[in-house]
Amino acid sequence: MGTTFALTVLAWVFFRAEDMAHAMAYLKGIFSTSLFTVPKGAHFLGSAMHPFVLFFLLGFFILIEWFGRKEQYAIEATLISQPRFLRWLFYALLIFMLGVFAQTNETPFIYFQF
Amino acid sequence: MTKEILNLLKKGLLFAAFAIPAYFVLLLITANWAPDPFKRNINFRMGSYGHMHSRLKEVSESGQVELLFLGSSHTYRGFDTRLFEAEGWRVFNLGSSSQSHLQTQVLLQRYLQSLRPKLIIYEVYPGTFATDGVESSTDILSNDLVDRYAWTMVLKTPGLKVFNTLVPALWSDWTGQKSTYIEEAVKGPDTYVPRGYVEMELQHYKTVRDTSSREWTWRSKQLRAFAQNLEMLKDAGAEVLLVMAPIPPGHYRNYKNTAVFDSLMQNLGRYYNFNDLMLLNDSLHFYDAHHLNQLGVEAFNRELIKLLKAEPEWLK
Repeated sequence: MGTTFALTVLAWVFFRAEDMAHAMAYLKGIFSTSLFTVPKGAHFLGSAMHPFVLFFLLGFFILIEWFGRKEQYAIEATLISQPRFLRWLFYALLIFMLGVFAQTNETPFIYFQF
Repeated sequence: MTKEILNLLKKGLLFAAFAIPAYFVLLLITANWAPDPFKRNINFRMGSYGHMHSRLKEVSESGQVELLFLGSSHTYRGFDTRLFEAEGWRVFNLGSSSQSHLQTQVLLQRYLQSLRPKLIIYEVYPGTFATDGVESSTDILSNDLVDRYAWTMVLKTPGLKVFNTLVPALWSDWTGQKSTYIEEAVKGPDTYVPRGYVEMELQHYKTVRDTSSREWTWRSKQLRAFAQNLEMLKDAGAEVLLVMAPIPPGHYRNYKNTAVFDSLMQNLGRYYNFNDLMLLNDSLHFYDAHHLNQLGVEAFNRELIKLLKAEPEWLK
């Protein structure tokens, strides 16, 4: 599954790029030594989401999807055998995550703006 | 069927009664202890960029002034209070990051009566008419008490970020965190100067060649708030100067409808656009695409002081 995903997204580079040179430059960038450096927080000022948070959220939702893969809805049976308090806490946590990470459309605050 | 619906409603209400307090508790925990990247839609930051906490603490104890500055970071980074005080005027700079007219309104409602300024320099950068004011609202919520004026401001700048900031702001009011917090005067290249000015260590803007044509836009709610603010200042009997502070000429020239903005301001009051009144240099007098460096501030303030001295009745 991982291999198929990786090959697919790599192939997308060619569809998205303006020309072959652009695509090759893009791939060269991906496979440069930067792949092994830890990104700094300052690099992501003003970007949509910090990659560490993105990885955390992706991991969290992949786990939920994996454990709920046999159900019609992923969280249908999550914590079903647990006390109601825990189940509701889990649902409240999901709502909270929506509130904290949802895309909002206000004027971005760029410190160096005004 | 009806029984099932009632049952569902009952469960929904019970869940809401559980989830709402749980949301608040999670919000407080995240706002106070989570690393910054996990606070994407929570902007509660006491003493954040711009020294607003220090400014608000000082203004509440300021007493009467002769000259008051209002506006965005062009204001608190553009009007050096020391230069005006050297002329014998008691001044206060109440600018803040991205301050739009909705936030200026709250600050005036809170502090105009105690400051009782004779002259107000209201900095009118066109960008402040285009912003929704959300980020500046969260700055004020984070650094000042949440009073009835703040609630009105919240209603005028609704959104997840404002709500998520309001809850920890209220909590820090109740627990006294805001009143006991002490902000450092020197933070990185910024130094807080008494009476509201922030001096940035001397840097020079490396001009980016940007010739893209742009237009200023404005929102009706900001224009409305601006008109209400002018009315409030008129009622208080203060003289008002509308001033557009200089921005790098290379950027200023890209805007094609500045004349429309100038005309709008001229119709609303006594207006001075210092971009047209002074000749400054992108690299020598600015440190980024928006802000004057200390050399630029001194040149700009000298011109303004000259203007104020030529019209002594404004400060009588």
